[in-house]
Amino acid sequence: MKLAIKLVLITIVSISFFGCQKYLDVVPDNIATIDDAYKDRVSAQRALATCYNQIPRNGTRFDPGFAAGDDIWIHQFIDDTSLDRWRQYYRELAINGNNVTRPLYSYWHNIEGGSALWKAIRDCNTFIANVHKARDLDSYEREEWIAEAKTLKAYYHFYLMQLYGPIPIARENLPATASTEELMVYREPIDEVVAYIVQLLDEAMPNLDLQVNNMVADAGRITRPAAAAIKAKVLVTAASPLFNGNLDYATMVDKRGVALFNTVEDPNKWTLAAQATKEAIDIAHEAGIKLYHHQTTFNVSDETLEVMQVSQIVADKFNEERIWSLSDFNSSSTNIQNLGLELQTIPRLHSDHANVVYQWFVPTLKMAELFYSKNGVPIEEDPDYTYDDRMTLTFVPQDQSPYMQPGYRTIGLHLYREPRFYGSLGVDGGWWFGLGRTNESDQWPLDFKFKSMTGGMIGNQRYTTTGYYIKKLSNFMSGYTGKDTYVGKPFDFPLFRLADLYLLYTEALNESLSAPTPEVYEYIDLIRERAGLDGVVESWAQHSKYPQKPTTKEGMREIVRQERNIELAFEGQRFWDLRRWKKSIEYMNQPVRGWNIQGETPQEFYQVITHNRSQYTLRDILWPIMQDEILRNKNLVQNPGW
Amino acid sequence: MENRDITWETSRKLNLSAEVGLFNMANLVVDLYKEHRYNILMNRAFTPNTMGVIVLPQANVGEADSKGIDISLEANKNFANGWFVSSRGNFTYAESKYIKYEEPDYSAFPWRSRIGLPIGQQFGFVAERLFIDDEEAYNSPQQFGDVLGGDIKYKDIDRDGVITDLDQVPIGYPTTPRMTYGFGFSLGYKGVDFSSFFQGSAKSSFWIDAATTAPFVAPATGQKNQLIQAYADNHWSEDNRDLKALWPRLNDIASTNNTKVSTWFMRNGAFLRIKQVELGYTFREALTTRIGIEKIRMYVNGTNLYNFSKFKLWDVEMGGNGLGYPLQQVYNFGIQCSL
Repeated sequence: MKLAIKLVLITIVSISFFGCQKYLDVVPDNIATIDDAYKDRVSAQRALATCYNQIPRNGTRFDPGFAAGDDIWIHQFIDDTSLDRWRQYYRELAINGNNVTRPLYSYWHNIEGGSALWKAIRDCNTFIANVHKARDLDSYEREEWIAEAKTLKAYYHFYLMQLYGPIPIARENLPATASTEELMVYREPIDEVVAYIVQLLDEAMPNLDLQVNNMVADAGRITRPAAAAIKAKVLVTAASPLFNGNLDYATMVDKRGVALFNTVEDPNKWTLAAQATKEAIDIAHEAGIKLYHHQTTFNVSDETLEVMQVSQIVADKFNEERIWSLSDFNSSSTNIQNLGLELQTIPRLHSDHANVVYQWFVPTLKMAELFYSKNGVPIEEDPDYTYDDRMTLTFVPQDQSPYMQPGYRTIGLHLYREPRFYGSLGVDGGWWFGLGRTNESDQWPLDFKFKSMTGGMIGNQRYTTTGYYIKKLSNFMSGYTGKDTYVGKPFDFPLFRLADLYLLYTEALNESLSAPTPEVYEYIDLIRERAGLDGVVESWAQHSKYPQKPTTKEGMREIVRQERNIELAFEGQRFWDLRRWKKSIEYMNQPVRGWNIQGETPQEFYQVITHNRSQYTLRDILWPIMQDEILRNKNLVQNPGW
Repeated sequence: MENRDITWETSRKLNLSAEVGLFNMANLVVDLYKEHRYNILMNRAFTPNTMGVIVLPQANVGEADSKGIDISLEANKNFANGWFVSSRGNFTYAESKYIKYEEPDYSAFPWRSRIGLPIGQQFGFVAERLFIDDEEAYNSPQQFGDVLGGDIKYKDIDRDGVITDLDQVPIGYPTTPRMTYGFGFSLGYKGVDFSSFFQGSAKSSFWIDAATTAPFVAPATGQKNQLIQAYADNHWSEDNRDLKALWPRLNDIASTNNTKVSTWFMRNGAFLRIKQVELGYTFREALTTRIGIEKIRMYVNGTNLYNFSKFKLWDVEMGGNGLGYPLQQVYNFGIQCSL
């Protein structure tokens, strides 16, 4: 065979250059620019609305103030992996603690439950810098809107400061062209952060209206009382032990050598706080804001009215005590993804309710011990209250019938307590007014023992894990129109209400004086009077083992703190209050206790069960900054322990 | 956040191609390429959250190189004595790497940087072994979620006492194989013909998907998973504390710790598959034309007959989730008639 070799070699060398051709290098028309967002009043108002939409949502699982404290315990049902992960932040925090990889409730980074507060601040800055472009916006309205944006900007800085401590200050927006060095901002010392927040609020307050004029369209908008209340809260927080001369953070010095915490306590901060709080109270009064007293058309006894009033202070929509509230977050939705607050707290009282309610938030036993005796003093201080028998079984006597079911077998802890106890908590052996039963003699009788239809453990998910329910966060006019059809009365969750300011003022004034003056008692006594209790001095003199307690600064400090925890229970305040008092480590490490919900008899039920929660240490107070952020910005100092 | 300077990605490519005919029976094609891409649009990694922008600004900052070779060969030959042989094969090898990649300053954590690494490089934790018991888990660097005995123990690369993203290192090959190839041949003698085709790939890694194959756990919305026999046979338990067991501690809640991408579940993705084999016989025309049929061919063939792979739990081409629908093995027997 003849071999013929044919070699064909085709070499194609193609070197192609593709580049940016000029005809492609055009900017399309009709691209929205910043000027379009402010071209007229309507557009500018829309831009203002975006400044509002990142407000941390108190009264929801997204707010650590509400969900991450020691007052509420969380149902393990939400660990079920068939449910989406988003509901687990608060339980994950309780069980595992926080972390730096993906911090929980991260308001710095907009992840794991937190909202985008730095974006919100940027939106406010953009608004303030551009709103003048809206030609048809008159100057009066424009100044008011700018004041709203400034107040929000101050509030967002404050919220970040509460969580993280020292934070960078975003006075103005950094442009897209900013150099890497400019982007690497520093955290500013606490005192400077506070000064800047206060400066913003002082600039805003004169231009804000006293009241929202159109409640239908504008409920929830910033008013002068709201700005003044924020300022009061900021200054009280700055004067409190966490941020005033706290030596725990003395080593927090940044790369410039700037100390981020002040290490010397400044008592004058309490004086400033007291002044600002008094000013806020006066502005609120001027705006017609006053303590809420519930009026009812139902024929009920004074005792029952006092109990009903407790939840109505929160759940009566836009009532006269509100200073600032969030109007749209507490829906009556029965969809599990967007469940209304009421349905996350109230018990199942009938088989008709069984498929509607979830008890994700239930009170810990600690909260049941917190409330005063009927004499308005702590139960351990009241000689008339048999404190040592509080865990002993007893029968409800006839004279307690407005509060508890006569003849019911319960423990001493549930008897002879102040009305706020029965109004804030659903208690085994107690009553539940409303939810379709508005006749006083026909209230829902509560029985939380195993297999009881009225709130006991049935099935695997819809029951209290501690043996208590939160009664305070629901309106008694909500109800069921039939099986599984819930008709809720949604309400605006308060961020600030007048009682909060009264108690801040009492606290700040007491701290600023060497010993309490009559003015210290004035505002706390107004709260107590509404709750059906005598004044502080009188109550302690007559009913406490320590009759002189209100006359000393230290005694009064304890009294006002407990009053605050009671009056504002379950309103998302206690978490922040414990932090600023430097009490978090002490309280968060106390065991999480509840009753044995698998007990069928009173003897079995009233056994204390302890739930596991991770240990709380110093590092758990100031939130971790995500590791990724520290890598991006070398000038940020991480919080201690992370 | 706008960036008005964004433009197209640019690429410079060099192709070299050669086509060679050999001995009147074979044809060889070789392609070589080298590509340099730059102006790749990427997120600016330096933008801290404090800037307040949710959508990260982008810019044309990335740069990458890739190169590769494609070879294909075909040959046919008929012999005078009645034999015929034909064969064909192809081979591709490609690799790439980042020259510039916008990332935070990893100078203190050089193992985190993507620069110089292939596009598609996976990062994960280095799994050392399983924890002996709860005691050891408590006393080790903090990992993810509730970690107990029998969970995977990761290496604390930066030695800071906590396992975080900073402890992830480049592990394995990219999931896309660097090398793929296929070859086949047909041969015949008189009425008998035989053909086969093989395909394979090499230099890739894959990860057993520990989240979706976890037994007793209900992923997202579905039913609870069954227990794979291999996991049943080889898992950590209190009675059998096998520190190298295939499956860590069993749990009816998805473990956040054990489902992280790590070397524990990393497997070699290389394989060679006998894709198809066919044997046929064509009856002589002299016989068939008598019954009025031009041609009768009987054949038997099979696809996906065998797979050579180091991974034995399930078909390696199914990737990480062995609970999916597998590749089928198919056998056919047939008669072809032409009238």
